[in-house]
Amino acid sequence: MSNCTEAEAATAARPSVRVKMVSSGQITLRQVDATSSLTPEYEHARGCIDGLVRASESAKHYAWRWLLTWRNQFRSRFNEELPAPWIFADENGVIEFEWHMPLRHLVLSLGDEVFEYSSRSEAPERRADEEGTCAIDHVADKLAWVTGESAGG
Amino acid sequence: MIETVAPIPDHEILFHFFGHPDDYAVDAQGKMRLRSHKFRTSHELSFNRASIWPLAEMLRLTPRQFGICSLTAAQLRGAYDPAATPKKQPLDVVPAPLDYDPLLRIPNPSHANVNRPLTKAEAGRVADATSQNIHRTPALITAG
Repeated sequence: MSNCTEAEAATAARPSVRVKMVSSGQITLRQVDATSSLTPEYEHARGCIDGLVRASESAKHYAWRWLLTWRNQFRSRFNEELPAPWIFADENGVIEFEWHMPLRHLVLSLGDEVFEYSSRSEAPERRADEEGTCAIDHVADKLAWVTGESAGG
Repeated sequence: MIETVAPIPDHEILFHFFGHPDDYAVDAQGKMRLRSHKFRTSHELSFNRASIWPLAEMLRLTPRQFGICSLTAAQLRGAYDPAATPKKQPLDVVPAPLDYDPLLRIPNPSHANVNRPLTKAEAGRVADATSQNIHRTPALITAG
């Protein structure tokens, strides 16, 4: 189901990130528990992942780890919170994240090796559908597109 | 003699069942949404016509473990975008009465099928529309 190892899964359960701390004019880096600063939307998202019936426990850890990674990347890049996705699982237990903005939509299926995506723009001047596979490195660009932070997907 | 079937008008309301807990979600504000790819099925995507079985009848006939959502025939047809997928034929929904509906376990004269599988984007548009019209949520059935 997932290529997430036991060790990775354990890490995914309580991921940590390095954050900048400003104190008395000095900037220091400190390791913090990424889950300690979850917004209510992300707390809810975590509960949604935990509650999926079709997905395995390793798939849930894998999905949660990636969601936190993308959230942290997004925060670093745009200094904004990535909206929490809608969370589902397909008939094969593959977890799907969906982001639905007023004019842009992105569905990401978190398979083992590659992520499948489908995106659509409902902009009146440029309605466009796209689907395919997406390398892990390119997910951040898809998220920037769906949230309106970039023009291209 | 050639039998002709009247097309389903654009204003016709089409009901659809959903039941698996992983096919719908509720956000932190309590808003519900259906899974986009639920409407991208390997088998024929089907609906029930409100002109034959109105909502009250659907609520009475449908097992309680299923939720009921709907969209109009125009919304279903409008999920097709010729500019995005010019090689696809337009979406349509056609009457397909059943002598025996395996889900309802009775004959189903309101049954209708979509003419082809939906693309992922089309399925997303159908999920957008049906998520706006959820008439009943599934009851959670516990075993035992």
